[in-house]
Formats: sequence, C-alpha cells, structure tokens
Amino acid sequence: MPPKDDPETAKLKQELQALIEQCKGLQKGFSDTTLEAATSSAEDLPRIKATTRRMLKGHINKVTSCHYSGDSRHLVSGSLDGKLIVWDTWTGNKIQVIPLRSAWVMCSVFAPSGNYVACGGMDNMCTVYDVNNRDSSGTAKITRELAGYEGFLSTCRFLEDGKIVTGSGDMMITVWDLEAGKKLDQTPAHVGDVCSMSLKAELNLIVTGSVDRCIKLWDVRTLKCVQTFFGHEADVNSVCFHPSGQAFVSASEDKTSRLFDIRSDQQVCIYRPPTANSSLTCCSVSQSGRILLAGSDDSTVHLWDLLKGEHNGNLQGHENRITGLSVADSGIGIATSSWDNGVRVWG
Amino acid sequence: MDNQINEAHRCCHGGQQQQQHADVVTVTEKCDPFAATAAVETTDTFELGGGGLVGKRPLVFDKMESLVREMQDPENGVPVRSQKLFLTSIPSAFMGYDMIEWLMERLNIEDSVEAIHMANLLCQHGYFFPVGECNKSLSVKDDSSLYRFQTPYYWASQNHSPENSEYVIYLYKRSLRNKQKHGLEEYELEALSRLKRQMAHKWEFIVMQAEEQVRLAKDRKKGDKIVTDSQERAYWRAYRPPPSFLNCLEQPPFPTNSSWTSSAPTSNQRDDAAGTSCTTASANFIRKWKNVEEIKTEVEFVRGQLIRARIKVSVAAETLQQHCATYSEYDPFLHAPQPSNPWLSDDPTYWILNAALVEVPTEKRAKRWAISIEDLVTDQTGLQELTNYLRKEYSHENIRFWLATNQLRSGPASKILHRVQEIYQEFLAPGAPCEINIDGRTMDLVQHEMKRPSRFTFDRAAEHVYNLLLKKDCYPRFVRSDHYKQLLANALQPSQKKRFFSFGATGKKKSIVAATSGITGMGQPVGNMQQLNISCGSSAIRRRGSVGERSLSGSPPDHPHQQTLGVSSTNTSLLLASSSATTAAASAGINSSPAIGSSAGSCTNVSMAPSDECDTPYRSSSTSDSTPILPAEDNVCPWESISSPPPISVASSRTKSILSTPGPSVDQTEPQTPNVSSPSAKKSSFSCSVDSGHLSTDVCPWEFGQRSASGGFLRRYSHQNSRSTAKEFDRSGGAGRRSLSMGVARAGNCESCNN
Repeated sequence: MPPKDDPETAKLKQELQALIEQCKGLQKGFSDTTLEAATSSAEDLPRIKATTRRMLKGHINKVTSCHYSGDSRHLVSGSLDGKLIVWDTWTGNKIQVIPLRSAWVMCSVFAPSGNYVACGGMDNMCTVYDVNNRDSSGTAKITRELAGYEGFLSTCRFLEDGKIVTGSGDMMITVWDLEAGKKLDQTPAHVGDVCSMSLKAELNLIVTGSVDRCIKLWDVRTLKCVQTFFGHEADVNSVCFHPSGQAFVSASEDKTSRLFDIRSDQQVCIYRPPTANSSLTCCSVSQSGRILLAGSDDSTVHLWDLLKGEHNGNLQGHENRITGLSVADSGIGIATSSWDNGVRVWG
Repeated sequence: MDNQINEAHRCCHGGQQQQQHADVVTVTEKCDPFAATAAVETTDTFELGGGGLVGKRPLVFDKMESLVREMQDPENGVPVRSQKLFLTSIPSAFMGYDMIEWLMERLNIEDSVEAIHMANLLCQHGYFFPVGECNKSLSVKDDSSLYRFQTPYYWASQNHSPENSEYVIYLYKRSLRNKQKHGLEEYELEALSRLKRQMAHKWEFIVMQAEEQVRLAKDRKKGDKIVTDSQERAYWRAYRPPPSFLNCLEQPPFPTNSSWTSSAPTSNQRDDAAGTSCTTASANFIRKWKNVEEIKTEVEFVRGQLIRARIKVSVAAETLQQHCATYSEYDPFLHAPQPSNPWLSDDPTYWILNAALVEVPTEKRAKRWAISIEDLVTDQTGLQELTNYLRKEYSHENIRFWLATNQLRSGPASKILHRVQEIYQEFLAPGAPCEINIDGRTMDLVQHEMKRPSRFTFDRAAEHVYNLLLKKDCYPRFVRSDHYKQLLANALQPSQKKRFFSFGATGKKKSIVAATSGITGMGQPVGNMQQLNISCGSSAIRRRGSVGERSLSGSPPDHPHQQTLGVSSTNTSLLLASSSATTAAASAGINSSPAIGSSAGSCTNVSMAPSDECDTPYRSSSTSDSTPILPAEDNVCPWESISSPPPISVASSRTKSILSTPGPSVDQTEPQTPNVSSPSAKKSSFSCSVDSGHLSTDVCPWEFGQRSASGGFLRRYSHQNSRSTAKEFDRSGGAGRRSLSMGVARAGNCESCNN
C-alpha cells in the first residue's frame, strides 16, 4: 500500500480532484461536436504515397533520435554507438561525424539556423556542438556542456542560436543561455519524467509530454504553465505542435495518438493504430497539418488523416522499433530513426 | 521511453542481471518444475519492484505453500521437536541443516548453496522464521541454528493487508507486557508513538483491544504462549521490517494490470474509454503529487483554469480545417512542390530555388507570403522583400527596429549594453533619427526597462511595433502593393517549363549532376555543409552568382568567393556552359520566369560543345545586344522567345558599371549575366520604379499625408539610413549575408542614394 497522506494533503488532493472534475465539466460544455463530424465536408485525403528515398547507413548501434535542420535538408541523428552524424538527406552523404563523450544519447537536435547541434542523454548533461567550427582533427568543437541535471536529458530544442530549452528525467524544464553557459530559468514541470517537447517559436509556446500522463503548455518567456491536458492512460512519449499553432498532437504508450486543441482546451480527436499492439513512440504533423504521422514499436510509421481521424496507411521498411521522427520544415521529407541502426528519409 | 531507458540500463549494467537470471535458471532446471517458476518469479520481485506480479502472486504462493506443507509432514517432513539449548527447552523448532538436507533430497538439488537460497526465499516470505532475538535478518544458515514454522493463518496467501490499526494494537500489547521479554525495538517505539498520534481518535478502542488480548494470553499454556508470540512477531517482522531491511511482500504502490497492458480493448471498452480515461489519467496524476506546497500551487492553477475562455470544438475544427485547406497546396505530400519534387524528378533545383535567400522566389513561395505576415517574415527572402518595399516607402524604421531587437536577443552578451543604447538612440530617444511611433504606455515600459538593460529591454516595444504597425499596417500595404504584384508576376513558374523540357533531356541532366557533385569530391574536404550546398546545384548557382556566395554562410567575405571559383575552375567549361546557356535564355528577353526551367534543359545542349568554344562567344554576346543569341536560343526553346516580353534594357547598362566593383574574379563570370536577377541590377530597377511608382501607387491617405508633411526630414534621413542599413544587414545577416554579394548590394545601394 502506498503511504497514506496526512489529512491536509489528502484534503488538498480531494480539492484538486474536484477542481479538475469541474474543469472537465466546463470543457464538456464546449464540446458541441466531434472533429470528424465538423470536418466531414473537407476533401478526402488521398492515399499518401511515400516511400523510402534515402537509407542513411552509418550507425552501428540503435539510433535513438533524429532531427531536421531549418534548411529542410540536413539532418542530425544520435545513436547508442556514441556518435552524432550530420547527414545531407538529399545526397545521402555524411557531412560530419561527431564522437560523443557518452554513448547514452537520448536526444539530438539541430538549431533552426543549422549552426549548432545539441545532444544529451544518460550522461545527465546537454552538450552543444558548433557544426561550423572544427578542431584540428576535423570534428566539431564543443560549444557548451550544460551540466546540473539530476536525471537524464530526454529532450531539448533550440529557441535560437544562443538559447536552448531542455526537458529532463528530473521532471524539470530548463532554459539555458549558451553564451554565458548558465541557466536562465528552471521550473519543476511535471510529476514524472519529461519525455518530449515541441516548440512553437513564433508564439513563444512549448508543450511538454511526461510520464505522469499529462501534457502541459508553457510560455517560454516566463516559463509558467499555461494549460494542462489530460487524457492519456500511459506515458506520453511524444508531442508535436500542429503547424497552425492552435493545436498539438501526442503519441503515447497507451497505443493511441491524440489531438488536443489549445483554444477549446481539450482533446478533440483520438487515433488508434489498426493493429492491436502498437504503442506509439514518436509523432509529427505534415507541413500542411493534414497528415498525422506516428512512429510505432511495430517498426512502421502510421499515417492518419488528422481531420477525419481515418487511418491512411503505414510507412514500412524499418526492422525494429522506431525511435524518432522528424518532418522537414518545408515538408519535403520525413526522417525516421530506428533500433535497426538505420535512419530513413521518406518522401 | 521507459523501454528505451530500461534497455539502456540493461546494457549499462552489463550482464549482472543476466547473470542473476542465469543463476536462478540453473537452480530451477535441476529442481522440479514448480520450484522453477517460484524461484524465477520471486527474484523478479526484487528486480522489478513487483510490477505486474500481483496477478501471478497467488500461484507462486500456492507452490511455495505446498512445499512448506510437505516440510511440516510429521512422517517425511523436517524433524520438528522441542530443542534443548543449555538449560532451556525451545518448543516446536527445527535446525537449519535439517531443513537444507530435506530440501536437497526433496528437490534433487546437488549444491547446498542453491538449497540455502531457496530456504532464504521461503524465510523472507514468512513461512518460517529464526527463533531467538539475535536473528533479525531473516536469513537461513546451514547449521544448528533454530527455526520455527509460521502458522498458516499468517501465510502470505491469506492476502492480509496489514493495517496500521492492527500493527498498533500489536505494538501496544507488547509494551504492556514484560519489558525484558517483550521490549520494543527502537524503530517499533517510533512507529508506536507516530501511530498513536495518527490514531488518536480511536486510541481508546486500541487500548481496549490490546488489554483484552493480553488477558486472554495469560490463560494459555506457557509453551503455546511462546510459540504464538514468536509467530505473531515474525509476521510483523516480515510485513513491517526494521529500517534498511527488504520487504518482499510489499504491494506495489501503483495499480498493475490496468487496461493498457492487456490486449486491445474491445469495441465496448473503446466507447467507454473515452468517458472514463480522463478521470483515471487525472487521478493518477494527482496521486503522484507529494509536496503540499506544490499541490497548493497546482490547486491555484487549476482554479485559474476554471475561468479560462474556451471556444467551441466546432469552431476549433473549422479553424483546423481552414488551415489545412490553405496550406495543403504547400505540402509536398499532397501537391507537387515547385520546381519539382526532387525525390521523383531527381532534380536538385528544388534545393536551390528554396534556399533561405534567393533572388527570385518561386511562384508558390511568393504566393504564400500573402497568407499571413508570419509566412512572410519567417521566410528570409520574404523578410528582405518586405524591407525593400518599406525602404522604398521611406517607412522602414519599424521593421528595422523590429529586426534590431530580434538581433539583440541573440547577439553576444558582451555587447548588449552597447547595443541597447544604440537602439535607443536610433529609434526611441526623443528626436531620434528614425523615431518609431509607439504609444505612451509602451514608451514608459521601455523607459523603465532601460534602467536595467538586458536582451529583452525592447521586447514590449518590439511586440507593439510588430502587432500594431507591421501586422496591421505595413503588411496589408505590402500585399496590396505593386511591388508584391510585380514579385508575383516575376516569380518563377518552373514546373510549367519543366513539362516542356522533360522529354529526352533527363539522361543528360543526370550526367551533369554527377559531374558537379564529382567536383566537390575532389575540390574540398567532404562534409562541409555550405560547400555541398553549392555542389548540388552549381550549374544553376553560377548563373545567379551572388546567391551562390550567400549560401556560403559563416565565412569571411573574401574567401568564399575564391573557394567557389576554385571549385568551378576544375570544371569551368561545364559551369560556364550552363550559366551562359541560361544567360542566353534570360537575355533573350524573358524577364525571369523561364530561367531555371530552361537552365536544366538548355545546359544539356550546350555542355556537349567543347569548352573553349562555348566560353568565348557567349561572353562577347552577353555584352552586346541580346538579338545575336536568339538563334542559339531558338533551338533551346522556340516557344519561350515567342511568348516572352521584350528584354529590359535599362538594367543591363547599369549592371555593368556596378559589377566592375567586386573584383576581377567576378568579372569573369558575372558580366555574362546581365540578367535582371542580379541583385544590384534589381535594386537599381527598383529604385527606378519607386520614383515612378510613388505617385501612382495607392498608398493609404493617412500614410501619404504624414509623409508629405515631414517629407524633407524623412527623406534626408532615409538617405543616411540606406547606407547604414546596408551595413546593418551586413552585420546582422551574420552567416548568411556576410559575403561578397553584400558588397555588390552595398554598391547598388549607394548608387541608388546618389540618384
């Protein structure tokens, strides 16, 4: 049995529960229709014909993450073999191989400008490399090592070249100034590991998903929580903003992906893979916001019509769990990383 | 996520756990099948903290208990008797080695270590316990130490969930009895006082119960008393272990076997799930909160959420649908991108035409700028066009202020103080050279912030400028302006031309791509991003020389140009051929649209010719009138020359004079492109159109009035500004723009000032 709460805590918890229920009641009042019904007039989404355009081979262990640069062409991937590789997705060439100090990398991201890459993982640190600045041996120089976490680093995003925001296993989100190498802001974000983060720079918003099964929306400038979203029944593995900035999607261990609308403050659609045992590890939305993509541990990427909630097919090719999925800014390609040591570009 | 971590952890700890497993398995292979599962599952409890085992537990207990029952068999079991120890006799006890021997015999275990391990597990699950005070650790030794069986009432399979009230009764009872025999340990005393406080409301009842039990115990025989006392004590020892001891019977603190671990929900459950899932999720969320302060802030937060303004789902759905409809044209998965989908056509021009900064945008790209100001300013080219437009209108102080504050945010920390002052002096101070128009309240805020200058000093003002001036005023004017209309008209529509050239030429095109990428392989270290950028489309980049240099971000102004020339020199003939071919097309009188589309096609034709031959004639031809080339153009694309408007002659004369500035290396390639898309040429042509356009453009009357009122003032400064802006850009663009092309732009700028 879990230890009993003392009366004060128990009372507060009850109050919290009651308030949340009240909130839900209010939300229900605004849910006058379902997304599927409201968008029935929209044109049907044609079958998406995407295939593997490039197989990026080079990692010799599980690839844990990948992320596109702002130019929609370059891609960084991090693997448990202790390397970051920067790829040119069009030619399929490796642009750079960056050996890491720790092999336990869990996230790797490109700065939108393409000047920096950052990675982190179970070294409880976020390391930033300058892609354009190399030492005598030709490897990128470390710009910053951001230490001071009590848990693994699960996700990070560049706000701009000099600023990065991270989410970590110690349930914190932290904003760093890279130039000074110090924390600008830090806040306890969740009551479980922060798993994933998505950034909408124009609106100064980030959204984080966590093991505590809820999703929170933050204002980057103040690092104050703006909204909380419930619904998932297991860890939220991934979140991603809809390009409109009015909504975001999430993928979870509970084998569902969901669409939450920010202005109506609730879940508006739920997407389930047709196969019974596919829990979802990562998700993203196509450039227009019409197609929802979610990578799964059944080694395929599931596609849905985001508006109508219909399953639109799978991207098949990987041979093991998909760990990361990134859609290019221009929408020209989709990159996926997998435990089969491969990175694929789909178009 | 969890899997990932587990996975990594497992790798991390190497074979340790594996080793453990292996041990257990070897034990169990030799034992009978039941013991196998029992052992494996019990070790699992240590590893996984009991997650998901509740469901299986009774089965494990059944197996363990049937073994213990066999042990207790009076005939074939472990010999239990009154043991004599010195002068005292200890009732119903057995010795350690007796049991180990029995186990080895019963389960055919060869190694006594394995039997001891089994015995230890049984002991820890509370089926028997060591007799005597000294043995706190519930471990079994293979010697004459004494053990006693637990009564079945206290067995784990009874599913006792030992409550605090029972525990406190037990503790109080002991405290009532003989201190020497039944004295409480320190941790027990602590627990007693803690529970006494917690259970203050029913303390009388507890005292009554305890006294009753003590009274009953007095009536019993001495031997029985000793046994039952020790059994009860052992029970609590197992369930409420002293600090730092394991309790393997503890329930996991979270519910296991919940809906998602079972197989896919049936359709009924699915419908149900929508309703209930929220509740379970939030309940789980609440359970995790520990800190009172944190809960309080969370309560406050949720209370704030109650008054949140929400919109109806139908409205939200409509917005989403609208967004998707608006942008579906730009989604490469739904509609073909311009010029062509590189994955399908294998044509790298896509990457060149959609680079961050291009001279002439594709039609789709330019169209997109009209959707919203965000679409315009997030596109580097769009931002540049907007700035150009506003400069022409002498109202670009707003956008310059906005860009300057954006830069300030990401600039070096050491220069912040300086920059803040600079910006203030330039845009905000009373009587500043380009004072921006912000309201008093914002101004007060800025003044306040100025006391502690930081990256974000001007954020409020910048937001104000962006939302009220740029978004509501400048942007709509830009979209309505002739400038934008001209951009749209001039925008590239390569996909249409593509169709025309698609037959026959594809094979040769590929060879060019191969050749150009070959250059990079030789010419420079593999893996430099910027240089690769060029390599993939060097043929087309040559044509728009300045753009090529721009994409060499991050290099000092002079070098990139040298480098690219170095690259091209290895295969100049090819590059020149292609560039001159496009020049031909462009100078043949097509303003800009067919340039790229034809480049692919036409260069294939020309590249067949020997390099020397195609080099000279074109160079000469470019300086002369465009007519002589027309025959050559004819066999490239007869159709273009018919449909296209007459050439623009104004630009070419100017370009030449300007282009002489950048240096000899440029001279070689650039003069061949008196094509309108060269930046300087464009700028000068703009400046022409401003003068003429000013009178005719439908500027909003307010704006116009203001300008005429302060016309002289503004104009004087705008001349200054255009010079400083060029520098500004130079500095600001950092990577992207700090290149030779800017030199050209600056030259162009100055010239337009002089005009």
